[in-house]
Amino acid sequence: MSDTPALAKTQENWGSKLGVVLAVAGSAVGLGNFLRFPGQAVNNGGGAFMIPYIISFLVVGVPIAWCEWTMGRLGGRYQQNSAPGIMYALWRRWPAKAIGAMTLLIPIGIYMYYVVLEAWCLDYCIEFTRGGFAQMFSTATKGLTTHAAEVNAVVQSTGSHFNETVGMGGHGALFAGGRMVWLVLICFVVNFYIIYQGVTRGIEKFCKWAMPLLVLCALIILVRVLTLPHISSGLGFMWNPDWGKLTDPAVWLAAAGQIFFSLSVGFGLILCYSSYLRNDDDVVLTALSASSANEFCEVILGGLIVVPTAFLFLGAANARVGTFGLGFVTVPAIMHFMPGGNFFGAMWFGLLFLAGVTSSLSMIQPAIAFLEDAFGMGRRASCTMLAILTAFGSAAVMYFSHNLIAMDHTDFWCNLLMIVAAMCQVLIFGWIIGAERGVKEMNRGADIRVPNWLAPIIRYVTPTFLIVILAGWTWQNLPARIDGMNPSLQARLAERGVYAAGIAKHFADEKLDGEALAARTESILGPADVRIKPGGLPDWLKAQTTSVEEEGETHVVGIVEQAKAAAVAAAEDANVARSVLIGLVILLLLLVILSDLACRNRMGKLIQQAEQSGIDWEAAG
Amino acid sequence: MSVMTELLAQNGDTVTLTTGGMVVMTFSCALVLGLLIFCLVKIFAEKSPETHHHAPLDIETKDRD
Repeated sequence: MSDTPALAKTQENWGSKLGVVLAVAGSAVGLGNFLRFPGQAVNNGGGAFMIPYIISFLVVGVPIAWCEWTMGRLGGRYQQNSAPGIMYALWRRWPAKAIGAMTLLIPIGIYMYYVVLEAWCLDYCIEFTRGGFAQMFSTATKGLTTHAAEVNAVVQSTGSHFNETVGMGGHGALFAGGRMVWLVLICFVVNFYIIYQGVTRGIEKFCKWAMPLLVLCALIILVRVLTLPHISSGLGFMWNPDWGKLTDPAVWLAAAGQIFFSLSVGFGLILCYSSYLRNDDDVVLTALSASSANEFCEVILGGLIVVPTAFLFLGAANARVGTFGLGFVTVPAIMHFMPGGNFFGAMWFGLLFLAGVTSSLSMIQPAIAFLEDAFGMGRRASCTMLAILTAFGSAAVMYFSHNLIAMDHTDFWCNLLMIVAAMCQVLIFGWIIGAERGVKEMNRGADIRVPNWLAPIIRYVTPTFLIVILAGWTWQNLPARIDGMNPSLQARLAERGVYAAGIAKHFADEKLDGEALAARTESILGPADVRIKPGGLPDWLKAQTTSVEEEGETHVVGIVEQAKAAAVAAAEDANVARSVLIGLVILLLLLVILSDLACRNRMGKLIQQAEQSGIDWEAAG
Repeated sequence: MSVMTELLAQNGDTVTLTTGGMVVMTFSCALVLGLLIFCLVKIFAEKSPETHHHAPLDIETKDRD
C-alpha cells in the first residue's frame, strides 16, 4: 500500500444539524405518511392501531434508525458513503459486500417508480391550479338532483381521471398522450439538478425550505379540516378504538410494517446520509429528531386530515380505500364539495409533490455516492450514468402501466428486500460489531445518551421483531405474488372472472347470496383449476354482450371474446411481473459484482488509507 | 343549506367521537408533538455547530485593554 499513490477523495459534510435532520426527515416523509398511514389505521382498529404502532416505533423503528446512523457515521470515517463500502469497512467478509449491494439496489428500484408518483402529484397540482378538476366535476354532475347521485358521479369521474392519468387501461397508454412523459421528465430534471449540486448545496439547501413549506401547507389544510362542521364525527370514524382488533396478529403486522416503511430505515438512505457526518457529530438526537418529525407528519397531519374529511364528505365506503384510491380518487372528490377546493387541492398535491421530491433525492444519493467511491467518478459523470439507468427503469414502469403491474411488483420486491436488508444491518450491528461496542460508539458526541439496556434490545428484540415481520409479511403476500407471475394461471382466472360476472348478471334478479352464487358459478363453469371451454357454456351465457368504448367509439363485444381478451391481458401482466423480478435480480447481480470489484480496488484502498491515517475503531475482520 | 353542509350533516350524524377515541387521539398527538418539541428544543438549545464540532477559534486580537 505504501508504494501506491494516495487516493484523493473530498469528503462532503452536512452544514448544520438542523439541515441533516430536515434532509433525513424529508427522506422519510412521503406519500405513505399522508395516505398510507390513515388507511392502515382506519382499517386496523382505528385508535387501537396506535398501541402496536407506538410499540413498533420504540422497539423497531428507533433502534434500527440509531444502528443505521451509527454505522453510517462509522463508514464515513473510512471515507465510505455508500452501503457496500460502509458494510465492508465494518465487516471484512464477502457477505458484507452482497448485503451492501442489496441495500444499494432498494433505493434505485424504488426511485424508478417513485418519480412516476411524483409526476402524478405534479399533474394533479397543475390540474387543480388551472381549474381542470372543477370543469370535469361540473360536467359529471350536470343535471343531477340528489346529493347521493352527485357524490357517486364525482367519485366515478375522479376514478376515471386517475385511471387515465396513470395509464391503467393498457400498456403504453401513457406514451400515447405524452403529457405524463413530460411531467416525469420534469421530475427527473428537478431531482438530478438538486442532486448534482451536492449534499450541502443541493439536498440540504432544498430540504431546509421544502420541509417547512410542506409542513406549513399541511397545517393550513389541517386548520381548514378541523374547522369543518361535524368534524368530531370524522375524527370519531378515524380514531374510535376497536380494542378487539388487538388480538388480530394482522393488525400488529400492519402497524410494524407501517413504522418500518415509514421511517425509511433499512435501505441505505440513512447509512448514506449519516456518512456525511463528522466523527463526533451527534447521531442519537439527530436520529430521534428525524424520526419524530416523520411521526409528526404521519400521526398528526396524516391522521387528522384525509380519512376524517373523506368520511364526512363521501361516507364510510370512500374513506376505507387503499393508498392510491384515498389519495388520487377520494381527495380530489372531496375538493369538489369543499369551499376553496381548487386552492386546497393544489396545495395538497403540491405538498405531496414536495414530500415526494425530498424522498426521491435520498434514493438517488446512495447510488451517486457508490459511483463516486467505487470508480472515482465526478459528480457530473455519476449523475449522468444514474440518470440513464433509472430513466430506462422509469420508462419501463410507465410503459407497463396496465393495472400498474410493473410499479406494483417493483414495490413488492423492494419492500421485501428492505426488511431483509434491515435485518442484516441489525444483525451486523448487534452480533458482528457487538451491541455493547456499538452502543458505546453511538454515544460518541451524543447530545442525549442512549442507555446501556438498548444493547440487548438491539441484539435480541429488534431482530426477533424483524423476523416476525418478514415471516408474516412473506406469508401474507408471497404466494399471491408468485401466482401473479404465472401466465397460464392468471389467464385462467381472468377468463373465469369474466364468465362469473356474466353469470352474476344473469341471476341478478334472484338476489343470490355469495355462497349460492359461487356454487351456481361452479356448476356452470366447472372446477376452478380447469380451463373453461367456451363450447361447453350455456347459450344464454355465450349470447351475453357488453358495450366497450375504445378511442371514442363504442363497440359491442361478446362475452367469449371479452374473456379471451381478458385472458391475454392477464397473461401479459404475469409476464411483465416475471420480467420485473428477473430485471431486479440481474441488477442485483450486477451490483454485487461491482461492489466486489470496488471493495477489492478503489473502495478497499480508501478504507486502508483511512485506517493508516488512524481510526480508533477496529473493524470486525 | 349548501351541498357541503347537507353532506356533512348527513355523514356527521352516523358516528360520534367516543371518549376512548378522544383519549387515544389526544394521547397519540401529544406524544408525537411532545417528542418533536423535546428534540427541537435540544437541537436549538445546543451550542452552534462550529463551536460544538471543532476546537474554539484561537485568535490573537492584540487587545490588551
